[in-house]
Order: sequence, then C-alpha cells, then structure tokens
Amino acid sequence: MTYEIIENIDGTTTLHMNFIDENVDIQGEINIKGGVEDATSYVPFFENDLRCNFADKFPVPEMPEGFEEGEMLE
Amino acid sequence: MAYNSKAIKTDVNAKPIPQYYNPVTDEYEVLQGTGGAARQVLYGPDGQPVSVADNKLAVRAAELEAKIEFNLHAVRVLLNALAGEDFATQTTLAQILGKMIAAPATEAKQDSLATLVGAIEDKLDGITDEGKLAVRANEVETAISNLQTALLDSQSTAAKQDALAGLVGALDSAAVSDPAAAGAVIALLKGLLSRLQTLEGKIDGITDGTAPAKTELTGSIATTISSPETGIKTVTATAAEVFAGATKKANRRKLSIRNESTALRFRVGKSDVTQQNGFPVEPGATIIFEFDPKTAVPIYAISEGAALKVGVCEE
Repeated sequence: MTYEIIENIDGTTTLHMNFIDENVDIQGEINIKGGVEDATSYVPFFENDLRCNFADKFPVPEMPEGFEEGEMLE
Repeated sequence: MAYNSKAIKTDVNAKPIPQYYNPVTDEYEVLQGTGGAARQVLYGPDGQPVSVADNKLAVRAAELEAKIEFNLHAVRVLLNALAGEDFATQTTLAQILGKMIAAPATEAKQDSLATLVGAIEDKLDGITDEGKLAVRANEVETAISNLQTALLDSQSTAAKQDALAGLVGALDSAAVSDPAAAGAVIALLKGLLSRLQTLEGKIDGITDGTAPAKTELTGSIATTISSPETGIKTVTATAAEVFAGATKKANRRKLSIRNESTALRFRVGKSDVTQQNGFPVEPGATIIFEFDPKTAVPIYAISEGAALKVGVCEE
C-alpha cells in the first residue's frame, strides 16, 4: 500500500491511497478534517476499511503447511 | 587840412572830373561807379551809414533772418508732426499704382457694364409673371397637373369596385369548380385528420394507463436508478468523510449511515464537525441524507470516543 497526503486550503487534507504495489487495482481517496498529522493517523483505518470492503480483490492468504481445514491455529 | 586846401582832380583837358573829397586821405578822389551809376553810401536816421553784412543791408537782413527763423521753426514743428505719421511706403504706393494701372475702370468699361445690367434687367422682366419666376411657376403647375391626373385616374370608383366584385366572384366560382385544387385541399385535410386521430389515441393511452408516457422527473429521488455502494467505514476521533466504497459515489442521491456500535455514538456534519457540534447518531441508529445528484455534498463523521464501525449505503 502506498499513500499520498495533500493539504487543502479549507482546513481539510486529502488522503490518496492505492494498492498497486500489491497488484490490486484499488485507488481510494478520502478527505479528513485537519492537517497532515490527522490524515496520517487515519491512514491505518482507511487502509483497513478498503481491505475489508474490497476483500474480494485481494489475494487470499495461503494456508500454512501441515495445517488441516477445520484445525485452529495456535 | 580842409577840402578847400586841395586841388580838385582834372581830366586830360584840365577839366574837373566827378570826384569827392576823402577827409581820411585829405584828398579828392575819383568817384567810382558801376553800371552807369555812381557808388552811393546809405545813411540811417542816426546819421551813420547803414551797415552791410555779407553784402546785404544789415537792417533788412536781420528782419528777414528773424522771419526765416520763425518760419523754419514752424516747418520743423510740421516735419516733426509728419514724422510721427504712418505714411504709405513707396512700395505700397507702387503696388496700388500697379493695380490701378493693371485694370483701371474706364468710362468705356462702365458703359459696357451698364449695358449688360440693362440687358439682364430686361430678361428678368420677361420671365416674371405676377411677381414669380414664370419658368418655375410653369414647372410647378405642370407637376400639380400631373398629380391631379394621377390621383383622378387611380381613385376608387363605383366601376372599379364592380370590377373587383366580379373578380372575387370569378375566384369563388373557380375554387368551387376546380376539382384538382379542391382534391389537393381535401387530401391535406385528411392527412391532418389522421394525425389528429393518432394523437388522440396516444393521449387516451396515457390517460387510461394502457400506454403510459415516459417521464423523467428532474430533482426527484423517488426511485433508485443505479446499483448502491455499500461498505463499512471506521469512524475515529478524527473527522473524516463517510462513504461506502473507495471514494465518494458520484451523483449520489442518498446516503445511509448505521451506527454498528452498541455502546458508542458518533456525530455527523460538514468538514468542521466536532465531537460537540455534530449531529449525534446513537448506537444502532441509522441516519439518512438525501442529495441533489448534481451537487456533491461531503458528509463528515467523528466518534465521540474510540473508533467504531458504521455501515454505509450510497445510492
């Protein structure tokens, strides 16, 4: 994931985020009240939301070797 | 010595000659003369010889000099007066003289001019009539006459009106009696009637609901016309926009936000929303915003406490 933060003149900050580095074609954009620091603090939440909302576009994590279906990970 | 002590002068014949006694030289001297007359000495009332200055008698010369001096003074005064005047120069006088000489008026020329004026006067007498120029009066009378003729020729008369009535009657008869023209008009009217009947049928279909008209209501959000965007959004203590997808849905008409938290509430508002001034959304509650699709209106949300999840639907 990569992101870019741009401060606006109206007291908001625009956060651009994409997952091209993960070969996932999703570009998100959200406006956040405040400056760069506020936007930076919101980055993990926005990333998590995008990964959740577009989970179908992200590759499914591979199961560890020797792990059987229905078995709980320790 | 005295004159009687001297001998008088004589000529060659020893006869006495014209002479006078000069007491200064105490001698008789020959009487001198010029032009057949003997020289004379004039004596004034005082018994003294009248003096001579510059070969002029002194008395007359003084009088004359006084008069001359007087006259000269008068002349000087006049000359001084003349010197102050702006006299025409020789050049100006020469120019005037040149013009006068170039074309001077002569009696013959004046006679010629008088003859010409007389001829013009005679002609003017000949072309006037009752104080007006006869030529212009004739032209005006001709023009008026022409106007009268034209007006009289084109005015409405009973005969002309009868002729017009006859023409109208002929046209009326022709329209009725011309089957080709009447047929074209009838065909046109039939086409028009057919179109009117078609239109009437469509109106009936609309009014009875069998063929409803397709209508687009501008500004209405009565129905959903595109697939909604849904998703979850994390609302934190930092105010951020709320939308369902990766970005705000374009031309959205409706935004529904449901508070998924069971304990925390959040507030919504514009970009300057705070935990105090935003509109509160209770746990489990849903807030709905409706928009004009043509106007993008961002909605911000901020949690009153820890981060919480909200369900979002954009239409």
